[in-house]
Amino acid sequence: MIKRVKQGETVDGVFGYLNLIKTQSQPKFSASTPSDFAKLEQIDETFAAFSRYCITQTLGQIASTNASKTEITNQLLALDIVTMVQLHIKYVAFQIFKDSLLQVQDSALRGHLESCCALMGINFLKDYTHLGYESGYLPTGAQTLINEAYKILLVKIRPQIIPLVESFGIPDSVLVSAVGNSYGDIYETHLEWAKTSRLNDDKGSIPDGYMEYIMPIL
Amino acid sequence: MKLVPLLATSIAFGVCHAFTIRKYNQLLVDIKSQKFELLDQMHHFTSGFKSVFSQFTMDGILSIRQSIGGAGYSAWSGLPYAIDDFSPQVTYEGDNTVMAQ
Repeated sequence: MIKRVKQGETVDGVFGYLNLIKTQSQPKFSASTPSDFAKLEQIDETFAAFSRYCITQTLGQIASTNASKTEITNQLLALDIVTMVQLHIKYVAFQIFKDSLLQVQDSALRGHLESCCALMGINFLKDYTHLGYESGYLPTGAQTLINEAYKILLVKIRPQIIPLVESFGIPDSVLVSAVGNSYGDIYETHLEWAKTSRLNDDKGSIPDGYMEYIMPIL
Repeated sequence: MKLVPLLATSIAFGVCHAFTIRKYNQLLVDIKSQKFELLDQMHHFTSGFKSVFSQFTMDGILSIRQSIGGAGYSAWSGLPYAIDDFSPQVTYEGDNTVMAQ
C-alpha cells in the first residue's frame, strides 16, 4: 500500500489515511476542550496523524540504510517496525469499528457503540502520544485533554456496561464461571457447585479413616 | 477504568472479525474469476489482527484477574481456565518478533 501511495496512486478504504503521506501536509489539532476530543472524528484524525508520522519515520529510516532486508527486519529496525505495524493495525481496527457504526439502525444503540469506539480509540492512542508531540501535531496541554476525554467517556459508558456485556450472549457452558454466569448470582452458584462437586461426594473421594478419626475433632 | 476499555475493545474485535470474514468470502468469490487483489489485503489484515488482538486479549484477561483479587485464582471464577486456554495463543499466533529468514 505504501509503495502504491509513493508511486502516486490514491488508495481507499481503511488505507485512505496514507494518502496524506505523499502531500506531507498534516491537519491541525483543533480540539480545545475534553469533550471536543471525545468526538469520534477528532480521535480518528489524531490517531491517523500518529500512525502516519510513525510510518513516515520508520520508512525514512529503512530508506536511509544500506543493510539487507533480513538485517533490517531482524536487528536494525526490528523495534521500530513492530511499533509501526501495531499502531497501524490498531488504527485499522478503530476505522473498521467506526465505519461499521453507520450500519447500526437504532440511534440509542449507535450512541453507546460510538462511545465504545471513542473509548477504544483513546485507550489505544494514549500509549502513543509521544509520537504526536514528536511530530509537532499535539500542542502543549493535549495530554490533559486526552486524559480528561478518557474520563468523560468512562463515565458516559458506565450505566450501559451490563447490557453491552450481555449483548455478547456467551452461554454458561462456554464461560464456565460463577462470577460471570448468566444470572449474576455468584455465591449461590459457587455453593451449588461445591455441593454437587464429586470432590465433596461421600463415596470414593473421602480417604479411609477420615470420618472415624478426623471428623469428630473438627 | 480497567474493564470498560476491554469491553469496548472486545466489541471492536467482534466487528473486525465480521469484517475479515466478509473480506474472506469476497476473496473466495474473486479467486474463482482469477482476481487476486484482495489476497494482499487479507494477508495484511489477518496477520496484523491476530498478533495485536491475541496480545491484547491476554493482557486483558490478566488485568481482569488482577481486578477481582484472589478470587481470580480460584477455579470457580473461570479465569484460570481462560488463562490456561488462551496463553498459548499469543505464542502460536505470533507476536511480531518472529525473525525473517
